[in-house]
Amino acid sequence: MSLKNKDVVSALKKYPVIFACGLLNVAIILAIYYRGDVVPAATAQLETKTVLSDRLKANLVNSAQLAEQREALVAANAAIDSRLVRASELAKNQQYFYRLEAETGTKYKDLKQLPPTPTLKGGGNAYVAVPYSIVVEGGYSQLLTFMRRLEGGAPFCRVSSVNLSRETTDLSNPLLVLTLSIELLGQP
Amino acid sequence: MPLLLKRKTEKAAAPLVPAWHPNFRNFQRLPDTKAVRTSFFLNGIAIVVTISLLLVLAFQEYSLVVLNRQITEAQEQIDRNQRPSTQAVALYKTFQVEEKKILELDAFVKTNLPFSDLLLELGRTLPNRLAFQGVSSRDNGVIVRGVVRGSGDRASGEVSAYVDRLRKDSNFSAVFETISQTSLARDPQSGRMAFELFMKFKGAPAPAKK
Repeated sequence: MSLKNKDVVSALKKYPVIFACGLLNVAIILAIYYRGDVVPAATAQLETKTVLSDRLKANLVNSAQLAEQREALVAANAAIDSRLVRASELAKNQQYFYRLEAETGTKYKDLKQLPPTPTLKGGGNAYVAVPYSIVVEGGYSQLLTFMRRLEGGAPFCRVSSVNLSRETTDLSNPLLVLTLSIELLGQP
Repeated sequence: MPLLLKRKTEKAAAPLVPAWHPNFRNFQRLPDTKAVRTSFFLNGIAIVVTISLLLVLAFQEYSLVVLNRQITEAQEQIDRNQRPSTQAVALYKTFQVEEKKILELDAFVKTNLPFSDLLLELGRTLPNRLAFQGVSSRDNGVIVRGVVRGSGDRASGEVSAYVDRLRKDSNFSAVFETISQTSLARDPQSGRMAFELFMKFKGAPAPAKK
């Protein structure tokens, strides 16, 4: 046994507690060091799972009445579909306007269906706008009734521009002319 | 015992100042008066450090156990909610398709003021001496053309009063941003004063200058 080893052994015998603690401390420090990365990794994993769990929970909370609300929308859209016009059904569409004419006592000077256009810019629309150019003649109350029926009628109607003017400059003439540019909501 | 009752060495116990008489004390045989040994403190410090490190390690391991338990609970919750959530998301997509149709319809039928209502409101507010010649409605506003009986200065006053009345009317002020008189001139055919008003819709761009 060398002198160095002898010293170590004698020191070990002299301070056994310190040596034991020293060895233990080295082991603990190594354990703390190598296990140190596990805690942040676990924390990150917990955060990810918590976020996911919260999102799923929020989905469930927010969808509590979703089925009923969707059913209500489906029913509303079915009602809307029944009020849509079809651009291809020209005669049927004209029939609607001639019925209006007969009911209000007005007289068309011009009635034209124009090619359908998208209701909104950007595409992906569920509906199209079926434009109409109308010139109709009648008394004030007749034209007012005509407009009322048109605006509140079965097909959804958007008035793009309208001009109401006297047919002549003669103030005693009760006839008025209503020039309309309208769009009816239609199926694509 | 030998550690705790360590004797001072003779050299260490020797006085620094030369004694005035010989020192006959035999330090080897004197009793040790040091009650607590240095090794006791060293052992104490080593034990304290070890315990401290053990506590740190224990706290770290405890935190890990708690974290793992929370991860397990979160995972269980995820597993429990995953399927209903997926179904809800799928349902929401179909909801959005239906909602889009409603929003498109809403944008289509949205209007500042139905023209028939506008005619009724204009008729309600029209003074006796004024008569309308025409009403035009466009995307930015409404143009009202009419005639007024009377001489030029009186007609001008009548039209101004009418414009003021329209501006103060709650039904008109709710829809129109500005109501202004754009022209007043004598109509050579009827000899009456012809006027034109422009009522600009709220939020609409200004009309192009002629």
